[in-house]
Amino acid sequence: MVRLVRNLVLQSSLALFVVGTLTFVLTKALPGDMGYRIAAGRYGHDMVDTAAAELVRQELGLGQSSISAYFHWLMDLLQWNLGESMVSGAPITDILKHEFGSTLTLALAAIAIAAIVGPTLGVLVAFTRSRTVDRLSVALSVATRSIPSYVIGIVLIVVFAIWLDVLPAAGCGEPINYVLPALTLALPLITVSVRITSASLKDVMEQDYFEFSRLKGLGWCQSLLRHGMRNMSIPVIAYHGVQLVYLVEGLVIVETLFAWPGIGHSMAHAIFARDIPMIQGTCMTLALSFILLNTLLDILYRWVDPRERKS
Amino acid sequence: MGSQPALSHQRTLVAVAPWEIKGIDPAKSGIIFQRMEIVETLTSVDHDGNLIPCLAESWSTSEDGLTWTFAIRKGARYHDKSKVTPQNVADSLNISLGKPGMLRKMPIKSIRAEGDNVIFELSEACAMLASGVAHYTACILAPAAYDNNGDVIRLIATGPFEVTRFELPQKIKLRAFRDYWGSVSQIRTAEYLAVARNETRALMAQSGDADIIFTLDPVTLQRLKRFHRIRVSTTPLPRTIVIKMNCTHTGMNTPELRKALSKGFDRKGIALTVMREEQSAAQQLFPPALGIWHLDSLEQPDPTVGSYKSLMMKQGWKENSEGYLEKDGSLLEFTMTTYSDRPELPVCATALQDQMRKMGIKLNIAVSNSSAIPQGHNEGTLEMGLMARNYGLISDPLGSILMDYAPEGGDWGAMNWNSPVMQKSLAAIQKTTTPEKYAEHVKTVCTILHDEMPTIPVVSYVHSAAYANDIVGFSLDSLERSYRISEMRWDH
Repeated sequence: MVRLVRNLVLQSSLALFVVGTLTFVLTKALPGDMGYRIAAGRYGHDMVDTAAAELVRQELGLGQSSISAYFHWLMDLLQWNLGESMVSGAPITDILKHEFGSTLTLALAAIAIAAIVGPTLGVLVAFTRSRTVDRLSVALSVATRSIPSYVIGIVLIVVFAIWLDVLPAAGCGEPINYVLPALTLALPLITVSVRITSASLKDVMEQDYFEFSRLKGLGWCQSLLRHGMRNMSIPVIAYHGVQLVYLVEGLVIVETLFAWPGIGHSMAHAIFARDIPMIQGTCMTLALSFILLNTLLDILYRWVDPRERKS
Repeated sequence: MGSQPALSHQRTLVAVAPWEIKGIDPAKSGIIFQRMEIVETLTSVDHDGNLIPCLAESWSTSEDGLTWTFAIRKGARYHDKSKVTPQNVADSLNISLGKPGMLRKMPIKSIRAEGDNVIFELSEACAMLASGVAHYTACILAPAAYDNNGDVIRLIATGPFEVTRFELPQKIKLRAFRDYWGSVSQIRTAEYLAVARNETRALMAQSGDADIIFTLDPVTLQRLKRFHRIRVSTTPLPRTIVIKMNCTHTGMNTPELRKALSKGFDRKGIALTVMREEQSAAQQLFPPALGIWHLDSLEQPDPTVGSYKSLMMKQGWKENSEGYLEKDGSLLEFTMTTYSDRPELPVCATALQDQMRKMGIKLNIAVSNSSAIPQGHNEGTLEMGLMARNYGLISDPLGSILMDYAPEGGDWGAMNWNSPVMQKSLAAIQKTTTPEKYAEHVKTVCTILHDEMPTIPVVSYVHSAAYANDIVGFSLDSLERSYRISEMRWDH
């Protein structure tokens, strides 16, 4: 456990440094004058001229060298001061606190849907032993994985908000607003999870210990619960750990599509406005969340697999 | 959901637009607060584009044009029920003067309260002051809206709607202000929702999740017209796509060449294929919504590509095997810088590229971001720029003209071009106090801009919205100042 916490702290510190540095360097490398871009973000394109850009440059000290600005940022980071948004002027930590809740609840809703629906359907697919169902699940997983979440989102809006008129197309604030964006994020996870679960369960069902449990007189469900579930879960948990990166990536698209006020959405806007502290803040938060969720999965993995605990 | 039947006093009107709320300071997001009728200014603009009283009941100017007196409306109250007084109006305007905005672009020496009036002292005459103070950055907030540093901490203003909740950066919830000095809105509650993506806004219109959806692309508008519960409205905007040119560059260095170049453009083609609105074709910078700034006498000629070529050939240029003009082994070649912040600009640039090819010009397109044009202008490296310019920031485009066509040029206007006659007229406009004289000078300015073409207008924008068919009294503001929700009501 101590090693796990130590790894978590090390990974997080490294991620903060690398992600923060990379976003700083990449944003500085983007074409265009930052003074104009930030002025456009603040006051709108129609109000931007050389005077407004100059005011922004002076106020934010954009004239200082990149190295000096970078070291300022690094020193501030060591004091856990992420700075202020160049566009709104609000402290980044305040914005992130406000927006991270929306992102986290949406991501957790998506993970919960995927974690419940995916393995359950996977067990059913394995249980039916039907080649047609199996092929259908392959086709669905290939389709949802290859279609961008943006398209999946639009299809879901058309079906549930326009054709069936049962769910809101976009917006936030009500529990019902979670359904479509969470489903958009969860759908690719579910379909691939069905494949992993069914393949894993089929594998387990062919094992001697499973056959033996059946010979002992246990029913299929009892065998599954006592001997199959835990063994089957190992690759499923490992798969979900890998998929988290898709979830983080999907958040940026899905939040923008569904007008969801989260950090993925803010990141996209911050990139257009060259709001460096905001880009750094959102990227670092997403990176930290990814590490934290992966650590949680590691813990779960160890709990499920006794061999891991021993090693 | 928005379109489901509900009692009129319960139903909230949901307005959706692409612009996010960047903060509660009007210097940053005042445009949204003005459109949602939360904030008000000393003057306003009516449906025909005329200046009308708002928080100022009347105004007058001294003979030398250096002192302007605004009589503050009696009986007006802020959303916190406190009274609007000349002193707190002057204080609010002085705070705005310290921030980037329209007030800083005018030669204001001081703003003070005196009796029932607010007095503006100017360092030089400025005819557009009355329309300048109608800009959202000059909105009036209550004393309780500011902290000791002049930062806005609460949005307490005087408009027909007051804020009940902010959910930055996307949502504002509003209710009708019952102590409003004018007619109280029949729409009791409203909501502003920022939805960045055009596709999502369109889907919200179709699903009935929003009652009014602003700024939809032309293709979406055509599609939405098919739905029975949605109505669609459009109006020309004073935002024009303009070609900015380095007027000393070969091939663009005389008014004749620039006019011949302009004549070669098939504006109707671009209007139909890119903007999807035939009425978008723009022969002049200002659309009819800008009143006297629009020249009625101009006709839309058919494109004639030959005149530019023949003018250049008279200067010794010859057509090569590919149809491009060439002289002493050099091609007639320009680079047009444009930006993708407005997605129609690169498409428009490629259409112009094809049309200029027919005139013998090899046009290269550099797609960058909007800062590339003022940067190129200031560095002197810009050859040609394609940009979208809003001449309707206030009801009078004089401010934009003064900035864009100054003797040394302007970021979003002329480059290496100057007209002493036009400068004389612009100086005279500033000191003019009679509308007739003003219109006369405006006509001179517009005629020079059209005759010498330091910038070439191509197409203008169209303001569009889709709205639920149970909204009565919907209209679009061609200056995009207001969504006019207080003038609407539910049809049940």
